[in-house]
Amino acid sequence: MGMDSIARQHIRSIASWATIIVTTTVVGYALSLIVSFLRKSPAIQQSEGFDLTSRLGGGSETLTEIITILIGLFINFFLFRFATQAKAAIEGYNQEQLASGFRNLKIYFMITTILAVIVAGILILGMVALAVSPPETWTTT
Amino acid sequence: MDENDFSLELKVDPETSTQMNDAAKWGKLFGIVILAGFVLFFVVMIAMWGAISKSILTQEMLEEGADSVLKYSAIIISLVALAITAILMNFLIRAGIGIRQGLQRRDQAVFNVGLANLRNYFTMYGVICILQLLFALTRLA
Repeated sequence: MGMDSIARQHIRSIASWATIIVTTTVVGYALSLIVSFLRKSPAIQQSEGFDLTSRLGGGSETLTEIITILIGLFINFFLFRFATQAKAAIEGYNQEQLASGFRNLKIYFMITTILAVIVAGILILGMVALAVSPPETWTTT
Repeated sequence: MDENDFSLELKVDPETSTQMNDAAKWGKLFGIVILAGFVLFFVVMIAMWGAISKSILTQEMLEEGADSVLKYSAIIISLVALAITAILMNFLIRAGIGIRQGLQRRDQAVFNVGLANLRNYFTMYGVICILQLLFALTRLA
């Protein structure tokens, strides 16, 4: 089957939007890291006598954020590779790059599907646990 | 030379077809998982609302009627999110079906419709990403 001008135009457009998605996501990650560090520094100064707890709490929060960002970057790496390879394939009429681009899109969807299943499972289990356990059983530190 | 003259140079060869087919399959699965997860989350939230609100709210807040305010706010927010997700995932599921059918039947028109749906998915997702980034920027300012 041939790749007509409409199909090529669609793939070019998909690749452009995929690039925008990756760019905005990476900028968003950078912003959230900045916000996280800005939020963290005054908290430690303000909590006199409790700085150890504050540092530990803030540290784990930042660590979770960094792990989330690393996973996000890993996923978006495949979307970025799809975008660049698909665009290059369309412009350079390169058959191998086109196949490689769609292989990266496949990996992107594969990882996001597996992560979506895990996150949905945790969310629903969390809601059930929240509903089942009475507030008296919660422990506060 | 007219742009259409190049159309025969870029083809959907067996390797590209396999990768596109797999990407479409995983994309469709991702759409179904996200939609099903969202609906399930919504149903669990409604079904266990009584227990969840008791866990979240204090007795005083419950007596003041904060429960119904929180319930309707959660329902409205969830419904808006569900509607946006449904539109987005509808594009992705239709893209998966269109691309796979187009490749199986070797039907250029069906294949193009599938690609158009994938383009719509990425366009809408891209717009959401831009809006999210703008929201993050305003929060930072």
